[in-house]
Amino acid sequence: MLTVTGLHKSYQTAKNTYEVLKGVSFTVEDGEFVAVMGPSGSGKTTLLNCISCYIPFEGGQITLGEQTLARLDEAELALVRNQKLGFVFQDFMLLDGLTVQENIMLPRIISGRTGSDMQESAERLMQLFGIAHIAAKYPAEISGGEKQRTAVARALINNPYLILADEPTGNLDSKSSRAVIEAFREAQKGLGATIFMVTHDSFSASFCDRVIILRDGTVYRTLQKTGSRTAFQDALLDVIREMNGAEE
Amino acid sequence: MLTFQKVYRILRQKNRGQYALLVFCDFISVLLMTSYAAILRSPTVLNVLPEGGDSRKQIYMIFVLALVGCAAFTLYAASLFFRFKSREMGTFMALGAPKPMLRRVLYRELAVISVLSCGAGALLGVPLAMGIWQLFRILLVDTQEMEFHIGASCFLIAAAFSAFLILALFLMAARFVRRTNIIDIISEQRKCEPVQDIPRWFGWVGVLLCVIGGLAGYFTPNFFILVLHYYPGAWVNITYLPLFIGIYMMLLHTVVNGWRGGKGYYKNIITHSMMKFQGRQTVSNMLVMTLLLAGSYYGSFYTPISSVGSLMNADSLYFDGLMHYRMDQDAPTREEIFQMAGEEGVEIINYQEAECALLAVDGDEYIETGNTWHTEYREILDGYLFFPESAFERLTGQRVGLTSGEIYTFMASDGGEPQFGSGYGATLLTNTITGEQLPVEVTGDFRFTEFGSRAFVMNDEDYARMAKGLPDDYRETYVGFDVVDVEASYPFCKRLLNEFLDRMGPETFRDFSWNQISRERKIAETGSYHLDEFNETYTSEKRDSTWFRMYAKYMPKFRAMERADALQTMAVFITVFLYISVVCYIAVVLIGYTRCRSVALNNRQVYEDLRRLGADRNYLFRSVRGQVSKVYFIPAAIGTVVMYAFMCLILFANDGRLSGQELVGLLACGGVLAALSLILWLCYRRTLRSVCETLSI
Repeated sequence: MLTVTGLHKSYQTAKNTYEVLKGVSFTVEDGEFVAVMGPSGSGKTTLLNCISCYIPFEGGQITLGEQTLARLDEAELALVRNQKLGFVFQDFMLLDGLTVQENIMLPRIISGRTGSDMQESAERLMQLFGIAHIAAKYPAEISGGEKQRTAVARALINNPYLILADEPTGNLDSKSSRAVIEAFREAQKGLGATIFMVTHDSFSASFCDRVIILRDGTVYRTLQKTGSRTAFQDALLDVIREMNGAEE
Repeated sequence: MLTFQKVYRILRQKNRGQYALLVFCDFISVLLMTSYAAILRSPTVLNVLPEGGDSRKQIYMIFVLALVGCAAFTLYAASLFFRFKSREMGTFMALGAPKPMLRRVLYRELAVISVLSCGAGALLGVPLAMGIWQLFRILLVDTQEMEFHIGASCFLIAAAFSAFLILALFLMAARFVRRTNIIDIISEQRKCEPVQDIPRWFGWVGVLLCVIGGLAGYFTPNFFILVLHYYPGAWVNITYLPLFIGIYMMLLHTVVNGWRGGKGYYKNIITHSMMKFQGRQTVSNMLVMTLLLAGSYYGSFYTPISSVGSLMNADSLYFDGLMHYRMDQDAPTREEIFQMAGEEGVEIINYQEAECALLAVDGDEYIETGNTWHTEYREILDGYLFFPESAFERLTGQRVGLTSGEIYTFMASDGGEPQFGSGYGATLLTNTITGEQLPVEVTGDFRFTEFGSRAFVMNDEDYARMAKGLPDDYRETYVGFDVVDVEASYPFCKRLLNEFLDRMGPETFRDFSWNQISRERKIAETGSYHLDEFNETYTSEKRDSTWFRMYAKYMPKFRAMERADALQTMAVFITVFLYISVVCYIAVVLIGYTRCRSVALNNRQVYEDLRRLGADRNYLFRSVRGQVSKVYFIPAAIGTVVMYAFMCLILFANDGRLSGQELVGLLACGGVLAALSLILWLCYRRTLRSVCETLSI
């Protein structure tokens, strides 16, 4: 599904160059729910932005299905973002002037596929994520959890290959966070969605099938869930403690 | 069916405030510039303001200033618009909207917005100019010359300015859509524009540069002309550059460091940090406001300076009435004048007549070759009037006992040089009819404003010898008289003026500096005489025009008319300068208001957070007031000081001193500044209230 090989990315300020990703490589399989964890500055969000083609990168390769993203021109990239990727942002990125339902339908509206099934798809997703009752409300009128579930529904409306989520629970309380993670699980189980989520929250990450831990722009460890969720969370915390200890 | 166009339309309706700001700024700047251009290019104004003259140059200079200010303020509004748009556009891009689609909808709405707002501004600019001009005519001064005519070229200026704004808007839009880093686009709206830390010496160096720029800008052209004998082009104005850099540095220092050396830092930390983190926008707005305010003040100074000048000139006249005419003309006689006065109920006292003659004086002629000039001595340079001392004594009661070869020139009553320079330097007189010559020396001067710089007094015997053989068109009679009641003499003076001008031949309607001696020499040397070009300006029909009243050769001077008609004579000048002052002032208030509104909108969240942290209403109000007051008061303070100092410099540099008349004029300018500052303070109060309402404070 998604293959990242030897990814390099650096930022330049007036005087210095900071290498954020130093040859990151991994794969995400079809239908998998994968999280990326790591301390601040480890390159999590930069990695996600490179996969999303939001920012350019200097070295390495990202392959989505059969397509190598770096070789695509602007129009092809827009098509990939619209058809093959779905996005969930930490601050939701809903348009305040559109209702919940209109926000969900936006990727379809952009692609011009506005047939009768658009509305049906939106309604189905709203039912799935428990937000059907707020369909006509505006983002300013709903809670953070509802906003993020709206964003998840929007990410899924075009049946993308892959959902990319950047700290989707970062701005939410624990109850709302749980609801959003449940929404991802529903998408994975019910719709067969592949999800790639950046998070710093071990609780959210413990719902995933696999967690990639980044440190200083490289893959520090990859953990596969084998037992219960709580055992996986404990394992994650152990690795984080070990990593922090190594740093000290 | 919901299409992308419909979604875009829904968003536009929801965010109409952002669109309204852009439309408003586009409309207002084109409206103001069109109305300014309508005044600038109006035949009414062009006919009065001489081509190449200082007044026209000054008005064009302020026009350029206003043009830059309005363009900067509109482009700033456009940049705000794109910042607001960035989140929406970034989200569309993130969700896979292709750029051609976004470009299409954005360009379409920008085309509609800009064409409609600029078009409306261009169309309404001319009626606005006519309306305000008419208002000035009703409220201030009205003459035949003030009848307003439209010049077609103002529409060209309006079209060019609109085209520039529209083009700039589309270039900004193209750059906005072309960006590829979606994360940058999305976070654009939240991005601050902090200014770098600057050292504390910045402020004082700024002050120093202001002084250097002002002095260099004013004196460098004179240095080139007088010392290097070279006429520099418009490029020489670059020497004003340190002035602008200095103003910018002062503003930067004020926003980043403040002038209190860190005192009260914690007390004002919120205000200070908010201003600093929007520093670039704030400083550029303040700079534009400062320059426009300076332009507005400059325009507003014209009326007090010229009115005070005219009134004090009227008071400094020696006679209540003074006329002179060539002896070949049929001027009103003493009996006719007394009869006319009797009919008008005016009692004339101290009536005097004196003859004088037109003789040639020698001197250096300025010869321009391309951009350089040199002088060449001419035995016969120009024609001047010469009074015999006895006649002058009869006229004025003054006598110094001039000996042969000794002549006296004239200075203004307050001791200043007359408008066209004094006659010091003459060494040889010539009767151009008989060829008789007399070496002379200027040994002193009389103080009479009304004789200007074109007359001398000489020894009676010398006069008899030199004037011998001169025909009547080379001889003149001066008539001076006083009246018992000056204020009541206006109708008589007006009647006498018209009678006098009716009886003068068309050959006497000439420019003040025109004379036949100079003309004959020039025509013999070059085939033409430049002052002949103005003959059409001085005709009997144009006797009430500004130019005739101010510069006609044989224009009588009556104290009653000089006092009462001071405003009418300068009507067009005063109205034009007042108009540009008003236009610049309106632009300043609009920029200040827009800037403060954007401060409120950008910092709404900060004020919400401060409230949550326990800040009370007073604290929040003080913080808002700190920002709004800086936006208004700093440009006002700098603009006021810079322009007042510059005006003092101009008046002082004229003749190396400040005359009583100039001091009174400056005092009147101070009064105008106080009135304008009060209006600005009221605008500031209104803005502060509006910002507080927006932030629920």
